[in-house]
Amino acid sequence: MNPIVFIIGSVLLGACAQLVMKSGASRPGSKGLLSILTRPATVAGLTLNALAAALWIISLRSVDLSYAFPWLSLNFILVPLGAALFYGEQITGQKVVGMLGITIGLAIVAVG
Amino acid sequence: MAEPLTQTHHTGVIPHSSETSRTDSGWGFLLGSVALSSAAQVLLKAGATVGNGSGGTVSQGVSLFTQPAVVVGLMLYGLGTLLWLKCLSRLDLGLAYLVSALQYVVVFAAARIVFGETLSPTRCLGLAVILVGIVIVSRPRRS
Repeated sequence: MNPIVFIIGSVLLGACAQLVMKSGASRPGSKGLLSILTRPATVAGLTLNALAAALWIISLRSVDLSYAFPWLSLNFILVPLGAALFYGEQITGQKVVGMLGITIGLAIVAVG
Repeated sequence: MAEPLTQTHHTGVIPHSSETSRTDSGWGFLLGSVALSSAAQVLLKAGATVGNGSGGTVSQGVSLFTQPAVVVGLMLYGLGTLLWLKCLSRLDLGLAYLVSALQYVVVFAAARIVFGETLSPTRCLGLAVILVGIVIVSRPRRS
């Protein structure tokens, strides 16, 4: 399978992990680390993170580190989009400009 | 370890006079996090390519995740994440993201030096454009 599938799959899972963990961390209740770590949403987020790491390692088998690594910047697009969608967080015009820049940069890396 | 994830300035635990040292230690956590996460990527790459066969059997897949370099790499990755969370409770989020973009440059340099990867002009240009994008995304809003 094309390694880009693993790379993008890994970044997607990682972004989902962030969004799921956010819901676990921001739930009202005890702010103790142990209490947060044992919440279902946190456990689910950490599991997603582990899956993301697995896909990432598989992708590194066949591509350059300097090709794979820039793709992690997709997080700067996916996480704010997800946060806007699920948590109503604001996306400013400045953020949109930056996201477009990252997209263009990734397109250049992809063809280069 | 029942430390709160987010420390507020109102806990009373930390007197106001130590605010500067809190920020200072935040920088230490931030740079440590960048260093550990970059080292983790190098170890993961090194471990992933050990005995890189063409086959894709299950046992090969499992052995990929028991490679010492992969195991240590994942541990460093976890440590780097912990330091990152520590720094987030001390530094401005936008500023922290800005500095963490350093990691892209460090990983590029490591890929060249450790693995002898060819950094084509196109790839470097792509990274530069990405970095500009990250700076724009994470620049703190003027208040």
